[in-house]
Amino acid sequence: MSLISLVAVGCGGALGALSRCILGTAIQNRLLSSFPWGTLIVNVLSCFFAGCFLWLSLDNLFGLMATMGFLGGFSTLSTVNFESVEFAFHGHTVKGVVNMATTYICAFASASLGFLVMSMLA
Amino acid sequence: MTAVTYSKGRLYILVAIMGFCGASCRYLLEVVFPTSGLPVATLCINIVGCFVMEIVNLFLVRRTHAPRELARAVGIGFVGSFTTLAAFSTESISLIQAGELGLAAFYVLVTLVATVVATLAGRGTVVVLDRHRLKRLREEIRERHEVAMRK
Repeated sequence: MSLISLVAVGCGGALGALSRCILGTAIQNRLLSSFPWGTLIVNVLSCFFAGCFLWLSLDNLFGLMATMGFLGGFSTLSTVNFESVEFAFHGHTVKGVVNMATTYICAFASASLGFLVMSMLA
Repeated sequence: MTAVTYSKGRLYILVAIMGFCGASCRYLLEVVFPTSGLPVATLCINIVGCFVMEIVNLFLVRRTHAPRELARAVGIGFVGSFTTLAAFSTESISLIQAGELGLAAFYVLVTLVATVVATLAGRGTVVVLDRHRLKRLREEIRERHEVAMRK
């Protein structure tokens, strides 16, 4: 690991976090739903591209910046758990469980889809 | 929840800075603790992140005088970037590809259960912190009252 790769990952993460913040809020405001669609869509997108990059398996600074940095910062697990547990503690246990299940299933499905799409394109 | 007004621009800048720190911290940990087989580093990162997220969102944002944008940015930016679902999903798929189906299933299950337990533990910690805060506030009020009575 070099200082350059650390900074590259950090810059990717900064861009990822900012994109998640802006896109997630925009989706949430547009849909006017209590269900955290913003977080779900952001996570699905990041897992799809992570699947694409898994197929590419780039071993350079750009690959590191994109996967470890941007996609890592763009996707989030702690927010999903926070929102699900928040649902459960406000009497919407079903919503919380559905949110967790949907996130995990969609994360897998989209990552696999990304991988498959890349292998079909190649 | 009460309506909160805050500067969007300031929030975005802080989220970006915090995102930088969160992602580079995750990368540092992944490099310092390289794992073969079960991705223990990512697992630990996600567990710690879920625990901290509760304390940030339920205590730092709501109960302290920390600047609101900064407190929100720590949650959205730092902890949000620190934890990752993208690495989790690609690591699971890599395990499946390597033929390690049992290990992949175990990784998914452990991540699911351990992060929920961590989230609940974070919530429990917030309850304790809240109790301490109330106790301190009550003592302050009592002291103030006693001083007023003496006058």
